[in-house]
Amino acid sequence: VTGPSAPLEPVDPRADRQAALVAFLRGAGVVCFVLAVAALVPGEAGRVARGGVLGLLLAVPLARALWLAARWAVKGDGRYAAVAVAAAAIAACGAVVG
Amino acid sequence: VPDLPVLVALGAVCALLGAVGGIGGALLIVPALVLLGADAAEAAPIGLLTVGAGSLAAAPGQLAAGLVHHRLGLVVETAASAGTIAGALVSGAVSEGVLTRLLAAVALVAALAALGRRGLRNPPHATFAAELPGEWPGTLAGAYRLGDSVVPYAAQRVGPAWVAMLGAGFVSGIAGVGGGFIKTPVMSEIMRVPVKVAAATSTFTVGMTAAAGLGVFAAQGRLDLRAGAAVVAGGLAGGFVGARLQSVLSPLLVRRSLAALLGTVALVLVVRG
Repeated sequence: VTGPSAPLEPVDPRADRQAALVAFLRGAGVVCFVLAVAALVPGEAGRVARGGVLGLLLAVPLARALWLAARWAVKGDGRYAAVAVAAAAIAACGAVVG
Repeated sequence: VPDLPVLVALGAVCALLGAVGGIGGALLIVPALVLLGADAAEAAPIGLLTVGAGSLAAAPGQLAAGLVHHRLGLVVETAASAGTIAGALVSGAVSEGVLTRLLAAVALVAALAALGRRGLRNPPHATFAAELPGEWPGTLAGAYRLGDSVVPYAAQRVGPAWVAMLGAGFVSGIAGVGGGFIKTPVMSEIMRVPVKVAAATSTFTVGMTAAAGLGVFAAQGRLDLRAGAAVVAGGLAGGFVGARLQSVLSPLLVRRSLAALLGTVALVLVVRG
């Protein structure tokens, strides 16, 4: 008998589709915690870390929305890609109108 | 604003309780800061920092479990972010007394929401047994795993929910809370999305809500980043522990205890206000 002994299971192309995003968010969470602890240090290092915490909390949700928009656009889901870009744009407006 | 060690401890305790009860830490931390002597206008931006950090900390687990519906979250977030920006802008022009009373009302509504949370509405369906948990491309529908079963769902009444999200965002911006206690019931009760998916999707959206509000507060120079970072450091640690405790404690007991705590906070704020 040649060939594989067990029948091949069909692989769903959607399996692990969010793996890269999960890894990115996990890393961002760790960096946020490190920066928040470093922000308690007095002086220039603490000041930079405080800016880093704010920058991270502003940038990560927007980056996530734009990453999804790019992914959906590539997959042909243009309608929801546009929604994702609109949501990111509206959230980013806060810093402009403030 | 209290000293840094107090803020770290406060962030840790509030995030722990918020994570255990599934209501988020900012709902507790903003009233707690006000009770400790901070102005409501000072406490709101700090609250939004903790909302953003809490959303970030919870995201990987919820995403890996296939509970987050990104398309649904982004559709409603177009309204919530706009409402948040409006609320944050208005909060600068509202008196301290009004903000404190508003915070009391928010705490009271959150207490009632914690008490009134429904059980299982969407049943598992055998047809979808082999379905991967997650959202279905190009739609506001999907499936999530419940034990060994798979539960399909499809969002309904998007229009009314979108309007309600505008209000949820406004409350977030003006009071500095995540608004998940409004968003989750809106998705669950109006859109008929399962509570677990609604809660995880809310957690995703409150991160964007926080970013929208923080942008306003940062641009206006109303953000005490030193105090905020202290609360975030404690909050991330407390949220990590709380998420692990959540599976051990009785959900009903926790929700009732939190409702009692929020009700007490609301009462104290009303008396103070």
